[in-house]
Amino acid sequence: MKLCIYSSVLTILSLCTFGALALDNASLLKEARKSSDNIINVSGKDYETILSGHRDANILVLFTSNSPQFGCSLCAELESEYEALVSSWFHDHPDALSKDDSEKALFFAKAMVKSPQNIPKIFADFGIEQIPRLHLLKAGSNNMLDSEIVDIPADKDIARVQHLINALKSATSITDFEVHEKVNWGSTIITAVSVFIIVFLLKKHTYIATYLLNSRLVWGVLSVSFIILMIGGHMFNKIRNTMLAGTSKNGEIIYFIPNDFQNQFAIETQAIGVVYGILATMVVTLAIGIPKLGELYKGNKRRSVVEASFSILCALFVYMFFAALTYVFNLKTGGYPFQLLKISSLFH
Amino acid sequence: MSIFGAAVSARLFSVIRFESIIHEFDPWFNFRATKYLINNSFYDFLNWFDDRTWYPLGRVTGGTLYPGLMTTSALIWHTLRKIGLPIDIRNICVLFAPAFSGVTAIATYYLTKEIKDSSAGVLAAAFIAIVPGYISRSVAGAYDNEAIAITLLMVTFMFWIKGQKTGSILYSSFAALFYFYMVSAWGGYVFITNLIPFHIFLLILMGRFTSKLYVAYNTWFIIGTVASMQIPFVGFLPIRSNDHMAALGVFGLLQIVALGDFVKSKLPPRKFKIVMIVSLLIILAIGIAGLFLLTYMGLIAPWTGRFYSLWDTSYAKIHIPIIASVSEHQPVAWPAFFFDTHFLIWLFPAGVFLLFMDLKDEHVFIIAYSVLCSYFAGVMVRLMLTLTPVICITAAVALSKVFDVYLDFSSAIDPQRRNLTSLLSRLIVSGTFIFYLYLFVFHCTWVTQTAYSSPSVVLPSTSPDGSMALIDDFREAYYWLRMNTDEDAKVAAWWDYGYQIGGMADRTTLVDNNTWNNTHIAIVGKAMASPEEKAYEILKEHDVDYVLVIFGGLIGFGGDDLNKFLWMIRISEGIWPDEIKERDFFTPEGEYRVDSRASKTMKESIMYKMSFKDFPILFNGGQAVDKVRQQAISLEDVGTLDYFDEVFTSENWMVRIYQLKEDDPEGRSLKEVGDFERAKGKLTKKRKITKPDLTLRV
Repeated sequence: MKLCIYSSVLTILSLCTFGALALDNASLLKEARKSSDNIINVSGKDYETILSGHRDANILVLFTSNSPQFGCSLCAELESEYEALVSSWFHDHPDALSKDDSEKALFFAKAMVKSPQNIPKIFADFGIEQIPRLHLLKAGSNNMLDSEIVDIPADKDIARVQHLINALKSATSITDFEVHEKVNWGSTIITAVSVFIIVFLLKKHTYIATYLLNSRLVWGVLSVSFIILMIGGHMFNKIRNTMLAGTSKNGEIIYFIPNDFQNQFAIETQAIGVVYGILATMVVTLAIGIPKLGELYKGNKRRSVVEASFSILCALFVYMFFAALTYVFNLKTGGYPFQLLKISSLFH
Repeated sequence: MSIFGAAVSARLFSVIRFESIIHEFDPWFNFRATKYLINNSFYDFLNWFDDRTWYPLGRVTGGTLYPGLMTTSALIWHTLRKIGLPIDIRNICVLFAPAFSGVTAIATYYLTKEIKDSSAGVLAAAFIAIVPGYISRSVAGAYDNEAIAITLLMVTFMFWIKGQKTGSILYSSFAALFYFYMVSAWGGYVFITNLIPFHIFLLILMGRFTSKLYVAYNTWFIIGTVASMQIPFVGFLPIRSNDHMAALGVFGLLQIVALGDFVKSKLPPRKFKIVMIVSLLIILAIGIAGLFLLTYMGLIAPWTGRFYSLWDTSYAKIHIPIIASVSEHQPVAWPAFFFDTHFLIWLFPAGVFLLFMDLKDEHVFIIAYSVLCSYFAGVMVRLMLTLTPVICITAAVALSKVFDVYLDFSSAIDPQRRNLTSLLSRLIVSGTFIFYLYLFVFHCTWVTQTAYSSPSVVLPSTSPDGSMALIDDFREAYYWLRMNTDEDAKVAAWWDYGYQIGGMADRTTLVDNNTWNNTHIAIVGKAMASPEEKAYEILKEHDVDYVLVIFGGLIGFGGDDLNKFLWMIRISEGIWPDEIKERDFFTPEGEYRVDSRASKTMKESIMYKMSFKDFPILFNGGQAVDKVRQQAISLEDVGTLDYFDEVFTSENWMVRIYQLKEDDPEGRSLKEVGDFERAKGKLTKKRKITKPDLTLRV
């Protein structure tokens, strides 16, 4: 509630002083405190109230996007790293001032673009043509656009954060800036609890565990799922770090890369895996399921009808999913001559 | 028999569409080695020191190759000659792979017969005969180790299954013999070395140890290992490298289990349990400690790089870029699986599951094979080849199980139990599956025809009126080299073309596709990336007479040297980081350009000059557009070439050969000579250049 009042007061204040002078360090700090991760949001139209005018503090601005329409994988990587960078700074400097020299302040801002149709003004003003970009607005300047580009290091994770910190230290001559890695207690706790539960269950129900361990069904399903994952191209996703899905030229989301035979989205593996799984299940049902069903109805008059209808149903399913598979494959290769006719197209 | 016929004929597309010619790169080396073998004795072959490659180092070829392929074809050649059928060795080599794929089909039949029954066997054989995944490596002309290796893989597995089923020493010895043959033919034998022990290990875990297993495995392991050590390239690896430790470990384990089995029969159960636990712990501790100690002391070699890159998929990227750069080692996206196996790919998991329902000893083998290999194939595209046979086997099992139920029309024939609904359902189910089979045949023919029958030495292209034209520049150039240069002339070209120059032009090369010496490759890369004076110096130091570059800019051939240029730069940068810098070859904006905006270093490199020499003149003042990179080259971009003479350019400009000039008799540097001549206006017009007319060719 308090925060809410603060912010509304702040907006009114900033509206009043619009264009006249920029925020001083204290109000920048307030602006930063608005979000839980201490990053000032400058995506909006009123970003100039924060950035323009004379500044006492250094401000680092990240231009980025998390929208799938841009398909920017580096942006996604940078997202958490930027947060780590910011939290490292605020961990030691809750008031954003350098301890060695309290004149020197450092703040962090972020500008996000949501869609290619709607690009925020700040991107145009700074002349951003590529994302992600890092601009450092140095202290002591009056011109907002007087900024220098900070190179994004090629490493990953904490190494990149470290490199960024070094670059910032030399650019701003701030000396006390250290990396603080956040320990992810959540995952540790989850692992510990789940291990405990599993061990406990195993101890308590040893016979179920041994039954599962000896069950052909369990092993069969496990290995078959593994195989389906592999032939669905899972390793490709893992090695190439593919995106979940992409966008076409008009900005629509697409799930299959058209006409690209040697490439795929991660979601393709899931779709194809499901298709393979259903097809395999149908074949298994046909081979052993239906005869077993027949055994159940032994002596019953309806036996042959039940058998016949279920087997025809299975064959139909196989056809449908196989047709879907060839359809998708045709999408990928283009000009595949042996596509199966879709059943639905018969009714047109 | 008819399957054999189909298997062979499906692979002959390439011969019909092109001609009887060896394909790609590696087969050219195998072909050259085979020729050497039939002209010399076997011992000469094993001791063959090849001084015509890797000049001036040479290569100990006899000790660094797998001789199985060459000896087999030499044997066929000798036999045919003895019975009065002298056939050109080239034809044997070209038709080698199709013939052996016929044998593969037969072996697969017997293997699947052991797994289920003969009807599944027939299906599996039919599948393997025409499945594109296997055809990809066994078309006529693909004279490579893989061509014979898959055959041997199937034969070995067949004998192994028979051996472990019956406990027969005869069959296991056969398995070992064919394993030996496999070791002599392909580096992928390690797969068998690990799969068979893994099978045994699983069976022991499942409590299925029998004396049959004991006999079969020991026979196979001892004979197989001792025999495989006879191959010079393998040598003592089987007892030293970690790749082979699993086999050794299971061998030891089997002895312990056998002993335990014996003790169990003599002791009361309770005492036995204690004995077992204690001894197991001790053995485990000693084993692991021993392994670490031996590896630490350097007695056992650690795992090989390729093996690491299979498990830790990012390993190769970081540590061995040369493995990561090879296109055969890339991961596979799902369409490739479907492309290579069509509807077998979804019968495959169904088949594995159905095998689980029976789960006899031999089924465990097939399941282990499928699970492991599907992982490997997903990681590396070349291992698709080893997955394909098991896909065929399991798919055949699944399909024949379906057919067992639905092709059984006995009830329909029997008048008393005639049942229309049941008949109808049977007809529909079996009908759809027969339809898929029919579709499968069409798919395979289509894939083989479109994707896997191109020799890559001769390129197919379509002329504007739609008819097929062949671009035969490579052979034209290699033939020119053969006829117009000294017999011991040294040719510098990028390593991709080393085997082909050796095989077709019969000239000495600096580097070739057996990339054993990275530094030597880097020397060639450095020469290509250096400016004239420096390149001339480097090449003279290595006695080079001719430089060969591949240029695809005129006809749009994407795999040319300018596109591989970055790899040359990177590899030489790895050795001389001070002299060659990748950054210098890019524009200030970080683009790889060859037009007027190209960087100075780029334009000065001999690769650039040699590729584009006279290229703009060809267009008579019009815009000279490089069709591969879609950039326009103007006359001013291409600098003068004073140290090299253009001696040959092939019809479509794909291969350009330059000769190193002799030193000037007056002691001037060649640059000064060039400047002087230019000042006199002597060099302004040279040969008449005509643009090749692509439309007229048929």
